[in-house]
This record gives sequence, structure tokens and C-alpha cells, in this order.
Amino acid sequence: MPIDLGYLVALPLLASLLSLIPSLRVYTAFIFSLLSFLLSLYSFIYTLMGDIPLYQWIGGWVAPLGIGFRLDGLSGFFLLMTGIIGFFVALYSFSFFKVEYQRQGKVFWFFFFFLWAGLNAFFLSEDLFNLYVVLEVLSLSALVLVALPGHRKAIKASLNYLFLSILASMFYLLGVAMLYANYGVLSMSLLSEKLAGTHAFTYALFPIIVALAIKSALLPFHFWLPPAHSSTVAPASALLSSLVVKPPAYLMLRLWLEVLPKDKSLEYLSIVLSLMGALAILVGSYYAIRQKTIKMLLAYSTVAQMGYLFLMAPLYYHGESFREALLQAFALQVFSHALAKASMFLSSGNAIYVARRDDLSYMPGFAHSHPLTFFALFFSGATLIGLPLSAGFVAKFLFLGLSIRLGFIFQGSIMLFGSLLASLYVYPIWRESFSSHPTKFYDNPIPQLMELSAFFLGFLSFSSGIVTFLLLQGIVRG
Amino acid sequence: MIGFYYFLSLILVVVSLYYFIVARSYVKRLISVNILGSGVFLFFVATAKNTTMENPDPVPHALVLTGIVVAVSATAIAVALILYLNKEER
Amino acid sequence: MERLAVLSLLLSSFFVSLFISFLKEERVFLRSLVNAIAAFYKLFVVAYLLWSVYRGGVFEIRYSMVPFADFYLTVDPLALLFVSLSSFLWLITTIYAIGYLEGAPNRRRFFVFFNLAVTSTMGIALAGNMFTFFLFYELLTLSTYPLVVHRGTQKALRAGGIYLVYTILGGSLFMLCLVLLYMFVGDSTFHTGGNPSLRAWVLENPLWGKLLFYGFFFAMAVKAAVFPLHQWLTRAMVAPAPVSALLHAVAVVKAGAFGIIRLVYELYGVELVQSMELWQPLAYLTAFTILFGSFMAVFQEELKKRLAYSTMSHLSYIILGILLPGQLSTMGALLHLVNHGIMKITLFMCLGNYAEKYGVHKFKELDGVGKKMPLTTIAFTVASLGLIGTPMTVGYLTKKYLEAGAKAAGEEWAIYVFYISSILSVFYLMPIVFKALFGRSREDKEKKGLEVSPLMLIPPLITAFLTLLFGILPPEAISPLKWVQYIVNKAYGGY
Repeated sequence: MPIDLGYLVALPLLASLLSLIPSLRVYTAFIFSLLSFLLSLYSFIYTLMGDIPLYQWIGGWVAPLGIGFRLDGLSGFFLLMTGIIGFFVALYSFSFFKVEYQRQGKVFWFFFFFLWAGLNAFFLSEDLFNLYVVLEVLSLSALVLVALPGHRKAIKASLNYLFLSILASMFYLLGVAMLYANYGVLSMSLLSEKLAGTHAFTYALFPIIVALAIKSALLPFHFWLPPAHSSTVAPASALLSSLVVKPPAYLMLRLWLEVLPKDKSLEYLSIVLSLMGALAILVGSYYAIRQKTIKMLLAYSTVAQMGYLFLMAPLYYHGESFREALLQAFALQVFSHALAKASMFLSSGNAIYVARRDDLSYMPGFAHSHPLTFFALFFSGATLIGLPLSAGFVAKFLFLGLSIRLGFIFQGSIMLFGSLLASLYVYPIWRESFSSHPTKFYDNPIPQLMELSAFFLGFLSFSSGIVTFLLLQGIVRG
Repeated sequence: MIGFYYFLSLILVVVSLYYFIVARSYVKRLISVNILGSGVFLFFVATAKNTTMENPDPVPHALVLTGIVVAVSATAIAVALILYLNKEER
Repeated sequence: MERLAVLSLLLSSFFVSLFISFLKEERVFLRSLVNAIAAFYKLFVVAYLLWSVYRGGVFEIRYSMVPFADFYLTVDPLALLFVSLSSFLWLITTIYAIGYLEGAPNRRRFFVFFNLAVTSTMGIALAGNMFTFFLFYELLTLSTYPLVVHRGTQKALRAGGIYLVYTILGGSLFMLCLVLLYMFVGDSTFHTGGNPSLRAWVLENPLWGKLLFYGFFFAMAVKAAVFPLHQWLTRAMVAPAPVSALLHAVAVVKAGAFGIIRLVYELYGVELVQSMELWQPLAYLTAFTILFGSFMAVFQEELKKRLAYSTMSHLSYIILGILLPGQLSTMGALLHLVNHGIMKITLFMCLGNYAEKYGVHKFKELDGVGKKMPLTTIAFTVASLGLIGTPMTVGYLTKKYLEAGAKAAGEEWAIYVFYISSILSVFYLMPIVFKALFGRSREDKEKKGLEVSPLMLIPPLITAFLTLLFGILPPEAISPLKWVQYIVNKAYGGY
């Protein structure tokens, strides 16, 4: 039975409003995060069995005027990802804001659900202007989450993030305006018909790609990300690093595979993006290895991991014959990174909660004192490196295979080298959680919910590799 | 005539971009991104004339209106944050 | 039914691991009970599968995991050889570990990863293609790392780091080869006598075929500790005794050797390996490893290190047996896979007992410990004799087959390698026994009670007994020898 996709957006929005009422906050947060998660799960299951792609027009107004929602395998998969992470981060936040940052806990839920609504809307939208609005919703709620702790560092990071994201949005809008001026439509499905055989869109593409690169922190524009993601509270960092940077990359893939026709200039663009992605992997990993604090390390690792998505740009251009495999690889890379990074940030929150400081060398010996948090760090670290059975491994296997099959040896070797570098920055976390130096032994308990949610995210990111055939069925179906 | 608006918006975009890069203070940056926004909105509205019909196309107007709303709210948040930062400093 | 059994073989220990991760540290009894039940259950399933496979059944579980590759589990005689070895020794080690770690901290974490390592070993054994093999091969790395660094001391952390460096580099090489294999050939299924599509491709592209073979070989050689890649093994000795027993006798090193068996016999096929002379340079390398390991072992003061070098050399016995052409050497190799496991695990458990009771870690501290712990010393002596290859033990059987195999292959030099290594092993093992038995103890204070807790005493005695039993059983009896014969007949009957 098809669902009304509007609920996926309306439900979190309603929750965000209700959470402003102090007496209802906790119940709202719990009930609505569970409901939203179940709804995402349902729509994911629908993509496995029902008729896809599913188009729905809000208020019955069809394109080009109306706002359309579209559910297909890829968006269903990402809805599921958002749902899982949203749910577990919500669980974590219950405990977290009870024991720490009580003041911030009052506003957190509003922006949390607002962000969730934005993410769901993004994955469902199929209209470029609609996507612009949703991108703004995402950025605005994300930047409040960055500023949440209220100290100078966080505010500054948030302001820098805000300026860059307004800049990026304006670029994006410029590109949209150019497309509209030339083709008169903004719906992606209509655009793909009109673009065929024309060249004018390449001018519009330039500002759009720059905007997406800024928003997903591709290398020369990455500088806003580490301070923004590392200076805020753990649940917010987890959301930002795992979910908020993903939509722009998703949009890029969508444009590339479904909207843009084959054009020589796109090939050059893909090579440039690929080089930037390669640099992002190398530079991001290098800085991640050099960091002395957990959160900065994780933030730089996000820069590196996002690089993979752009590194493979030439494959998106050349690989129509492997379209399915490409979509699957991309989806899995996003999924595994999102889950693993969320788990890592939540665990880093546990570390800071126990040790009262964010410092790798002061990291508590979790392996001895809090095994569940250690398991979380262990499994999610393995996923970031891309070790089997994790979903990250399957993604890397597919990307590597495709790049060899299509003759992109450079991309393949950077990918392999990138996982080696990833093991270099994950290793210190493992080592420190094992080190049994007495001063590092803090065994004051962590609230159970905080440990469990981090553990489940890490465990899911790792063990989902074995059931990828099930997760990816929707993408295979179209 | 439409070319003139395009040209004007181009100037706005370029100038504000330059200013965005060189500006050090948050307020100046905020102003520059707002000018950038104005440039983009001008461009978008100007494209409304780019149609075969006699009346201008209404869609760009609607879209730009949305864009302005978003830009205003972003500006509001930025101003709030800057004020907060200044209060902290004092 | 059988498919369910296969799946339960894999999943039982995985679920145990998941279950234990939620169990509180203090729930010792429940944890031990669950562990023991799972280990016994596994043994039961293995017995059932052995019986079914012997009657000619072949079972598989296969589904397409990613666009290019299948997840493929299969039960063939060779898989069962490794499965039964692992699950039996696992039961032994589990019992031993429960005793050994009594009262130690972090047992919960230990058993979580311990069971995860069992899962991966089962997966390695049952893997029906290279892709599945790789999945579990890497999972094994991941699950044994926490075991190596279990104690969390600086030394352990360093050893763990080195372990990771070697295995992750090896894993990357493995992954690269695997992807190349899939892109060029598109299939990595194990077939008796070699994968036909791979064979066709290798005959067309001999250079790539050769490179891929060496790539796979060295990726596995990391775990099997072949000469330049052995550093991690000797350092991993900082781990607790049950872990070393496990690493050295069953899981990690054997996974490497087992992978090489699959590579040579079932991916490339013996014929291809011989006709392209892929095996020769590797045979020289492994022969050198045998001598190097035995030689280094003689000079090790630390007892566990001595055994580590011995493991290195014995692993290369197996690999050399695999590489040498001919049926007899194959039999020798497969037999040694089992026999070395049984003997080496005995030695490690005995050393663990010495260390636990009297704090003996070094050779010079051994004086007189033999008289105080007679049963442990008997077990140690029997297993040492076995490793040396004295008649009446399983070690003798292996050696006989390996030497006959070398002769049949016309590679007489290999016989001398085995001889020299045997002599060297007398020099590194016998002094331990003599010193333990006849050395004069400095302090005569004998600790009261049983020499160690029965949980730690019975396992080495059982394996020592098996060392003798399998050595003197007639060929008709049910024994590893018979099973190996069955495998080899099937494999060589293939063409």
C-alpha cells in the first residue's frame, strides 16, 4: 500500500513544534522519533516491494508548477539511513541532555526534528528549486546545532559555516535561475528530457557544482567543516557529520546519473572533481592522523570520507552500463560512513563525558572500563577503514571493481591508499581505548542509553555488510 | 534591456564575492553575502522577461520571493549570533 | 536440514558473542555455560556434517551479495577437516581459557572477541569462493587484534600495532588481487582441480596469472608467517596463553595455510601450478622459512617466543607440502595441518600452566618445575616428541608422508630440509624438558594442592593423549589420517 510521502516531512515538523512545549518535550521526542523512524522504515520496505518510482504531487498540482515528491530505491535507502541515525541519536540525546547541557536540551529537539524533516524532504524532492529551499532548511537548522554549546568557539564556527552556506545557496540559486531561463522547467525528470542534446546547461552547472562542493566540504572548501563539527555537543556532531553533509553529494549523483546528458565538458568537470576528491582523501586523512583530539580527528575523517564520493565522479560519467552497481556503491559508502561516523561521535561524547576533556591521550581505557562503548568504537572504526564484513567494505569493493573495470587505475589506487590512511587514524582510537595506564582508568558509569545507542549504530554499520543484498534490492529495482 | 539587468547582477555578484573574500569582520561579510543575494535575485527576476509571451513569467517572481524569505531568516540568525558573540566579548 | 546446520555452525558463535557483549562482567557462570554449550553444540553439528558428507552429500548456501560477487558457503571434505579441527580445539581452548582467566579482569570482552574469532574461522573453513574467504579472513584479523592486546600493556599495544600493520597490508594486497580476479575472470569459486574459467584466463594471460597467484600467496603468507612476513607472530606472544594457543595452533596461522591450500588446489589447480612452475620459487622460500624458524627457535630465551619460531617453521612444513607436486606431500600437508594444531596447542597450554603456577616465562626459570607439575610436564614431553617426529606420535606420520612426497616429486633437497629441521627441533624442545625435569630448583617450596585447576590440566592432557593415539592407530580406524586420505583421493581423482 503506498503511503502519503508528505507524512515523512510533516511528522517531524509537527514534532519540532510540539517539542517547544516544555511539559510535552520528552514524550514528543520519544514518540515522534519512533514514529518517524517507523515511517522511514515503512517507506524503505515499500521500495523493496511496491511500485517504484512513486510520484506524488502536493495538493494535486503537477509539474511544472506543483511541488513533487518522488520515492525510488535510492531515496528509500537514504530515508532508512536517516531514520536509523535519527532514532539512535534521539535515544542518545535523552540521556545526554539529562546529564549534561540541560539548558541546550530545551532547544535541541526543535532543531533536531526540523533537520530530520529537511533531510526527508531532501531525499524525496525532485524539483531543483524545492531542493534549494530544503538545502536552506538543512543549513539553518544545522548551524544552530553547531552554535548549541554557546561558547565562543562554537559561535564562530557556526558563523563561518553560515556565511559559506549562504554563499553556496546563492550560487546554487544562480545556477537554478540559469537553468530556468534556458529550459523553463525545474523538475528533474522534465529537465532530463529537455537537456538532451543541448550545451547551455554546462554554464548553469558550474555554480551548482561549486555550491554542492561547498556544502559537502570538498577539499578547497573544506575549512568550515572541522571547527563546525568538532566544537558542538556530541549528538549534534553526530547528526552533522553523518547526515548533513550527505545530501549535496546525493544531489550531485542524481544530477549526474539521471538528469545530465553526455557532454564533453562534463567529462572534464568529472576529472576536476575526481582530483579534488583525491586531494580531499589525502589531505583529510593527513590532518586526521595528526589530530590530538578525538572530535577534530573525526571531523577531518569526514572530509576524507566525503572525498570518495567525488573521487568516483568520472565513473558516474562513464559508467552508464554499470549504473546499478554505481548507485549501490555510492549508497553503501554514504550509509556505512553515516552510521559509523554517528556511532563514533556518540562514543566520543561518552569519552568526553567520562574523562571531562577531549584529548586522545586522555581517552579513557574503554576496552577495560566500558566495553560497550569500546565495541562501538571498534566496529565503527572497522567500517571507516572498510574492513569486511562492514558495509564500507562492500562499497569499497564495488568502487574498486568498477574503477578497474572502467580503466580508472588512479581512482582505484587512491581508494585503496585511502583505506590504509583510514586505518592510521582509526588505530590511535583503538590503541588508546586499550591502554591500561592507571591515570586513564575512569570507571564512573555512563548512562546506559548513551552506550547502547552508540553500540547499535556501530554494530549496524559493521554487520549490515552481510545483508547488503537485502538493503540494496530497492536500488536494483529502480 | 534585459541585458542591462544581467550586467547589473553580474557586477553585484562579482563585487560582493570580492568583498566576501577580503572582508575580515563578520558584519561586513554578512552585508556582502546579502548583496550577493540581491545580485542573484535580480538576475532571477530579470529572466522572467525571457519568454515569448507578452506578460512576464510569474514563476521566477514566486521563486525569488521564497529566496528572499530564506535569505532574510538566514540574515536574522547571523545577526543574532554576531550580537551574542559581541555580548560574550564584553 | 544440512543447510541449517551449516548456517548454525557459523552463527552459533556469532550470537554467543553478541549475547556476551550485553552480559555483565560479573555473570561468570552464565557466560561460561553459554560458551561451553556453544562449543559442544558446534562439535555435535560437526559430527553430524562429517557423517553426511562422508555419505557423499554436498551442501551449500549461496546468494548474490553484491553485483559482482556471491556469498557462498559450502561443505566439502576439506572444509570439514578444518572445521572439525577448529571446533574441537576450540572446545579445548574455551575450557582452558575459562580456567586460565579465572578472576582476571575483562573476561567479557575476551570472550566476545574469542567467539567472533571462532565465527571467522568457521567462515574461512566453509567459504566456497575467494570472496567469502576474504570476508572472514579479514574478520579474523579484526577479531584477534583485541585478543592480542588484551592485557593493554605498552608491550601488548606495540605488538598489536605491528600485527595490524602486517595484516592490514596483507589484507589490502588480498583485496586488490580479489578485485582484479573478479574484473578479469568474474568468478572465484573453488573447484576440485581448479576453477575452469580462471584456468582459461591464466592460459591466455600467463603474466597476469602469475602475478595474481603470487599476490594471493603473499597475502595469505602474512598470516602463515612465511619468512619476511613473520615479525608479527613472535611479538604477538604478549597475549594471554589461551590466545597464543589459539593464534598459533588453530585460527590465524592455519587460516593462512588453509587459504594457500584452497588457492593451490581449488582455485588455480595443481595442474596449472605445476605446468606454469609457479610453485618452485615459493618452495625455496618456505624451505628457507623452515630452517630459519627452527634455527632461531634454538636461541630464544623466552619460552613462548621459542614456540612462536617453531610455529613459523612448522607452518612452512605445511605450505611446502602443499607446493610440492604429488599426492603424498599433499597428504603430509593436510595431516600436518591437523597434527601440528593438536601438538602446538598442547605445548602452549603447558607453558601457560607453568607461567600461571610458578611464573615461569624464561628458559632459565624452568629449573625443577617439572617435578612439581608432573602431569603438565608429561603432556609437554609427549607433544615435544611429536613435533620432533618421533615414531609412535602423529608427528612421525606427517614427517613420513612429507618425506615420501618430496622423494616422489623428485625434490630430494626438501628431505634434507625436513631432517635438519627435525634435528634443530630436538635442540629447541628437549632442553626445556630436561631443564624442567632435572634442573635443580632454587626454592623447594612446593605449592599445595593440585598442580593447576582441572580446567587447565585436562585440556593439555587430552590433546597430548590424542598426539599419541592418532600416532598408533591402525590406518583403518576413524582418524584424521583416514579423512585426509579420503580428501586426497577425491581431489586427485578429479582428473
